Amino acid sequence: MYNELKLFYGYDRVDRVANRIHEESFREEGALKQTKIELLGEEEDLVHIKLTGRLDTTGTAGIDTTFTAMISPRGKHALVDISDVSFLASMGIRMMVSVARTLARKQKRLVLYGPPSMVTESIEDSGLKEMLALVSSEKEARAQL
Amino acid sequence: MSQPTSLHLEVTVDEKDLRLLSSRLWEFLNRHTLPLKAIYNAELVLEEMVCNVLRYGHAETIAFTVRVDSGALWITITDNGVPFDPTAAPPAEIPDSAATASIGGLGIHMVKNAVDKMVYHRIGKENRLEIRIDTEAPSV
Repeated sequence: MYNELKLFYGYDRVDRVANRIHEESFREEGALKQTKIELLGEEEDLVHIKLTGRLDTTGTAGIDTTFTAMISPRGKHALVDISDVSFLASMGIRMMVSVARTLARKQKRLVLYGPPSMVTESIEDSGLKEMLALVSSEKEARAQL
Repeated sequence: MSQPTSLHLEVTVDEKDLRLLSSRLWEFLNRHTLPLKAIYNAELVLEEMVCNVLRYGHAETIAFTVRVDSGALWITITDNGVPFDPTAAPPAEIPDSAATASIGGLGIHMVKNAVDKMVYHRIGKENRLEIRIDTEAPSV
C-alpha cells in the first residue's frame, strides 16, 4: 500500500517520479481524507486507539465524542497511534489535552506515538509536546506507562 | 503551460466550508513546486485564522488569498468583523501538567510559530492580516 505519510516527510529523499505520485495522491485526497477512530484493543490497564486522517475542526468534531467515550470512562492508560494522522490543528490538540487532563486526575496517562514529522511540528508549535507524552513507537509508548 | 500563481477564496459563515476550502488550497499549492511543510503551514493558517474569525469575529465576509512567489507564499486574510489584531494577542498559557491544562489562544499561538512573518492592519472597517511563509526548492 502506498504510504503517503512516509513520503510526506521523506520528501527530500524520494525521486522525481515518486514526487509526482505523491503530489497526485495529496491532490486527490490530501484535504479530503476522512477522519477515523479505531479501537485497536483493550488490556488490563490500557486502551489502545488509532486515529487516521485529518484532525482539523471538521474532523475533530466528528470523532471527539467517540474518542472521549473510548478512553475516559475506562480509567485506564491510553496509547494512541497517530502515525496516519495527516493534519493536526488546535481543535485536535485540545481534544487530546482534554482527555489527558481527565486521565491525569486518575493518575493515568495519554501517550501518543508515531507522528509524521509535520504533525510533530504542529505539536511542538503548540508548546504542548511534553505534556502530551509524544514518542516515536508503540514500544516507547508502552515504556512510558 | 504555466500555473496560476494566486488563489482567492471567499468564505461563507459556516465552518463546514473549511474542509472544502482546504481541499482547494491543497489542490492549488500542490500544482507548484513547493515544500510540503509550506503547504501544510498554509493550510494551518487557513484552518486556524479563518476559523477564529468565523467563531469570534462576527464578520459578514472573509476573503483568503494566497500567492506563490519566488521564495515565499504570501497569504492575505481580510474580514469585516470586529477589530482584532492576532499579532498582539497574548501568548497561549502552556499548562505545567495535563491535570491542570486549560488552553486558550492555541490556534494563534501555533500559527505564529509556523509562519515567518505576520502583519496586521485595520483598514477602514476591515481587518487585514498578511502572512509570509518562506519556501525553498525541494532537494531531489
